[in-house]
Amino acid sequence: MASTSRRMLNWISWAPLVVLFEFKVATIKRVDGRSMSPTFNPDPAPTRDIVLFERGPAIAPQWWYSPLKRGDIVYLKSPTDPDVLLVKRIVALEGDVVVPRTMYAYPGRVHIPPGHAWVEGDEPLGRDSNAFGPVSCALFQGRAACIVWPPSRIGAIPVASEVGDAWSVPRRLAARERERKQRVVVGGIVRAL
Amino acid sequence: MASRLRQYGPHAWTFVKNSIKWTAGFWVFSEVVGGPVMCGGWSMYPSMPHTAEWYLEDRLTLRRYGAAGLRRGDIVTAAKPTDSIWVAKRIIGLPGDVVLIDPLDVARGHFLVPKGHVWLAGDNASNSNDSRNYGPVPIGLLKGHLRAQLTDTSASWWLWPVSGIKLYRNPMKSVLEVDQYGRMR
Repeated sequence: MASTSRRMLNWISWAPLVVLFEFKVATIKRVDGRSMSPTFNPDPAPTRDIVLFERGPAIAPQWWYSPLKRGDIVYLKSPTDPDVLLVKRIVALEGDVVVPRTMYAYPGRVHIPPGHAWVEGDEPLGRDSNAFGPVSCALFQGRAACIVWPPSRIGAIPVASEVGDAWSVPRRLAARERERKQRVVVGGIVRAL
Repeated sequence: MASRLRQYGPHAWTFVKNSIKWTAGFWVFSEVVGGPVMCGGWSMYPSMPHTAEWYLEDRLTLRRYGAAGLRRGDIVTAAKPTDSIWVAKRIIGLPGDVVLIDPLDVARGHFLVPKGHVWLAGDNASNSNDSRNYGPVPIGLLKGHLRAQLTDTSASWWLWPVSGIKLYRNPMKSVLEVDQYGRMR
């Protein structure tokens, strides 16, 4: 019979596996701020959402069965400040052409370079690609998988839908998605040399 | 056979458990603290040989000090912004620096490194894909510092502890450590 300290040490020796899970498989993050409203932290919500992010598609896209798509929500390190984490939606991938929201730093069209993506919040608050341009996909840390808190909205991430109440989250998301798709040319424009 | 299994079975399970624990432990250690990494290619020649060699990567400095721990002249490992591979390059410019874009180009263009970015370049300027191609690199893409070269395939194997290990010191440290008024520290 092992002593108590020996048994505790035996339990603690599994800790690296838990940390490795957090690094490589999935992580839980609390989302602050309004920038992803109404997907996360919808306007009247008194709590801040806690979201489960899966690591695989972000850290090893070449090995993953479902790569990052336009419309996926990712969390990434801010390109302008390595200590800041952002939660944003992928609007365009490499090779696409984007018309930024006009009030920001990038007038005209932007061609997304290889390995980069254009990310935006659902609310036009500005700390997204409209301010800092296309971001490298290597900055992505995880893809949002589901909401784990608050209990009223546990489960899948809300998706756009045309059915339902006029001010429901799916309808509002659908309106935003329409606006987004108008500004993206998927695959870009073939330019004559 | 069944008796063998009864005899060694519990030990086999212990062996599997311990293998998992040690693998996870080493993996986490090399993610957080750093460890040996393998690197090869012409881009840092002659500071680093083109052959595939093992290097000692230090991730703790970046984790602890972040952008404040970066110095011009450090050799860092970074995720390549345009591709899902890693590169080892030298830091030429820190945020706010004005760097010469390409020393080999007759057009001597200069570039202001933006906030939160560094300018990376390989020492072998004529054979290197670096910030001249993909622009300034966000500090968030940096992984760690290369502190030492652990192997050298061009040296005799039996001289390994003497000639195989090279510490990488920052060559710029004494020259470029100036304060905001341009004075040497």
